[in-house]
Amino acid sequence: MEENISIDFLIKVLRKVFLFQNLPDHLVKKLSESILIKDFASNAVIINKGDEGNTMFVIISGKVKIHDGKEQVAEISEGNFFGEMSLLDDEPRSMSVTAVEKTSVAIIHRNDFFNVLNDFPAISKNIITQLTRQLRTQNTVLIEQLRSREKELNDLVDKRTAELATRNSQLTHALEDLQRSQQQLIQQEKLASLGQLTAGIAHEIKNPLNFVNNFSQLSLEILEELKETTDETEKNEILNDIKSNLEKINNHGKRADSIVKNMLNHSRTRNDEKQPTDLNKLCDEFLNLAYNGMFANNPDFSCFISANYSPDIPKVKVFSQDISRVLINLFNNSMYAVNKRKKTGELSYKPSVEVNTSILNSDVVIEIIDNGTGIPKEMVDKIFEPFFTTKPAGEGTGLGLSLSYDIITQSHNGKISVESELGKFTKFTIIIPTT
Amino acid sequence: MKVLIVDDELDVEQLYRQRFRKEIKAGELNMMFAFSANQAMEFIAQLAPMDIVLVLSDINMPGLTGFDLLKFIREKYSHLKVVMVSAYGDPDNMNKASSLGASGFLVKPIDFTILKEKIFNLK
Repeated sequence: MEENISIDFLIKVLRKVFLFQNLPDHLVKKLSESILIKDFASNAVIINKGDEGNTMFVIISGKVKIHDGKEQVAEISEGNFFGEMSLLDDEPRSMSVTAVEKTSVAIIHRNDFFNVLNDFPAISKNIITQLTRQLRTQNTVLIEQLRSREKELNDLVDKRTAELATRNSQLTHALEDLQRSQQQLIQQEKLASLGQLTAGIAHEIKNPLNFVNNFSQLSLEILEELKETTDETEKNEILNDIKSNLEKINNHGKRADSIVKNMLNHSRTRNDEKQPTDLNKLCDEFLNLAYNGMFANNPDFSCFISANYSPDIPKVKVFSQDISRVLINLFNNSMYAVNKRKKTGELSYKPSVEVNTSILNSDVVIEIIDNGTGIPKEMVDKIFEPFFTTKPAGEGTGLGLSLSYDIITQSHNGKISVESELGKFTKFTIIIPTT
Repeated sequence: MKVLIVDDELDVEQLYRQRFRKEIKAGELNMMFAFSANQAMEFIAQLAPMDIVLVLSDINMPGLTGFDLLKFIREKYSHLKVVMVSAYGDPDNMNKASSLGASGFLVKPIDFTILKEKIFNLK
């Protein structure tokens, strides 16, 4: 007991404490004699959570907070007590207590407390009442905290949901933009390959047109001769010529017509339905176009073409414009490769492109083989990736093979693969199921 | 006189034969046809080359081109006249033809009046 605090003062203090309010005078006196008084500065820790505890504290002056780490449970002041729980149940301290301001406390030891309880059992009612009050207060505080947390959480969820919704709509826009760009790129690629074809197409159309013009004009002229001649043999000869010329005109007209149709098909967005298609014929038409296109753009270009079309191939239901795009792409690539190798000035090099069709296990197999520059090993795996190109800037979109890959594997359930050896050959194999 | 016409379009033969029907009939003109540069080279090598006075060759043909044929003729049969024929009358092709030693360049469709003049001026 501290010297400077008199027993009388302590009795006065203890009387103020609800717990000891109805304690008989002699017991209050007895208790006050065993009490220890201690002062704490502001922010000084009085109890640490988890410590062993066999004392309770009565606040003589000042104010303390009961807390669990940063979570404050209650703030109590003069006349209130704390630390009674460990004293009663002999468990470690469940909360920490820190002085909020300069605080003076009376410390009651467990033995002294239980002595008072023995001497005056009615005090237990005070304990229960006080504990109940404290629990009720703490409960209210906790419920309020819970409610405020819940609100905070709800607000947070609302905020996050709103953020996510914004993000989502941004992503949706970005995706739409991407899809639009992709469509544009596909369209550009179509136009680019059409551009490559244009020269070939012009040539292909000009040839039959020349024949139509020549044979029709010729027929007019020999008709005049027919009128003039009296020789029966010559008459027959001329008539036969005219008949044959008309057939030629008809054939070449059809030829031009079919080229124009193909060209229109090529640039048009594709039909909704697959059409039975003669893949041999398709190969041949586009091989010609590719060849003439290449030649028109490079007067130096020449190349041996060998085409072996299997007569066993049935008509296959395909999107013919799409397949023709794949073919023109591969033909252009192979001719580009042989032309590039030829330009290296290699002696005795014979540029050649070979196209084979065959049927294997009811699949149509189209092989396109060139003896051009070949593809380096490290690039073979990448050539079907979008925007991958080995051509100089401006010569390739980098989309040709990637689109070809999609057309064969996705739209036609087929396969496309490549084999190559640098400086020797490149072989593309397309497999299209007939069913 | 013999003229060798080289073109990968088969119908060219019928066209020329009718165009020059009278001349052929009158024995003024003998026309031969080859449908690739290779075939033309074989003809020239096999037949008496002196016999042929003019080669009329298309440029754009599968395999060897008309330019390859032109080079071949200039190297081995320098007396033989070669006129190039092409659907592409662009300066590149024309310059190339003249630099390789072609005696003329005709753009398709061929004006047969001009061609006739060219052939008979050779006489």
